[in-house]
Amino acid sequence: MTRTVRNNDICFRMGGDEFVIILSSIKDRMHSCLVSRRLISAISEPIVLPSGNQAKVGASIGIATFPADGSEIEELLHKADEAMYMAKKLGKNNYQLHL
Amino acid sequence: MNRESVMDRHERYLQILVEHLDFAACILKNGVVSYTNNAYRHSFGDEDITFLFPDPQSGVRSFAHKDTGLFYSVKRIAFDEEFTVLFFAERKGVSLATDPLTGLLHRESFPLISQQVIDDASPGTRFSLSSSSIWMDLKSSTTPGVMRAAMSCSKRPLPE
Repeated sequence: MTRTVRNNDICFRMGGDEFVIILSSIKDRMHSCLVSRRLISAISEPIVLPSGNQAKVGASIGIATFPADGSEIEELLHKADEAMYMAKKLGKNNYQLHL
Repeated sequence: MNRESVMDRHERYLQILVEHLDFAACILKNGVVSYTNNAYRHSFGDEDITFLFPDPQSGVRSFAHKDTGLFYSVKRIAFDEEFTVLFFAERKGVSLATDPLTGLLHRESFPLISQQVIDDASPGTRFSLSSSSIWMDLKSSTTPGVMRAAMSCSKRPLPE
């Protein structure tokens, strides 16, 4: 995950299987989409476990943008979560902008 | 006095000013680091982190330095076409707690850091917040023991 984003972007593990990334100073929302595609591509590389079994990992990503989607962090997080659930509904390995 | 010596003097004045600041700062000459003050060297050593702030416009950015666990507001001031100064103001009270399993920042750090990012955002700044849920599928040949180990970072209940 950290290899996919820029050094000044900030990644948090919020608990369990949930993560939040703050992409700072983006030019437009499409930049977030580009990063999301890269993230999904990197995460979905199969992992070979020590036992020889293979694990497949994937991600559903929801995106909210400051200031278009809100100016308070709780609001942005809530909207990103909503978008993430929309992405989940679309199927595995999807991202979704908050609309 | 020719233009070259005027510019040399201009640079020296900037260096004297920056050297006497009690917080980290560095001078960029034509976009390349030409001088770092004591506080910068103390905080970042020889590390060049200025490439993280390529925006040519003046403004404030947030910067989490994971190696030291410190958080900074970085102000960029362009003096003229040639010289720019970056000021690194450490945000006291913003601690970077790291998640021991992943090495990413812990959720405890989120409220303060995200608020700081918003506070630092100047008019015209955009940033995005991505919420992600990571799922994991294991091949059917996988034994439950392997599945348990692989899902150790997930809150979701393990399948029976």
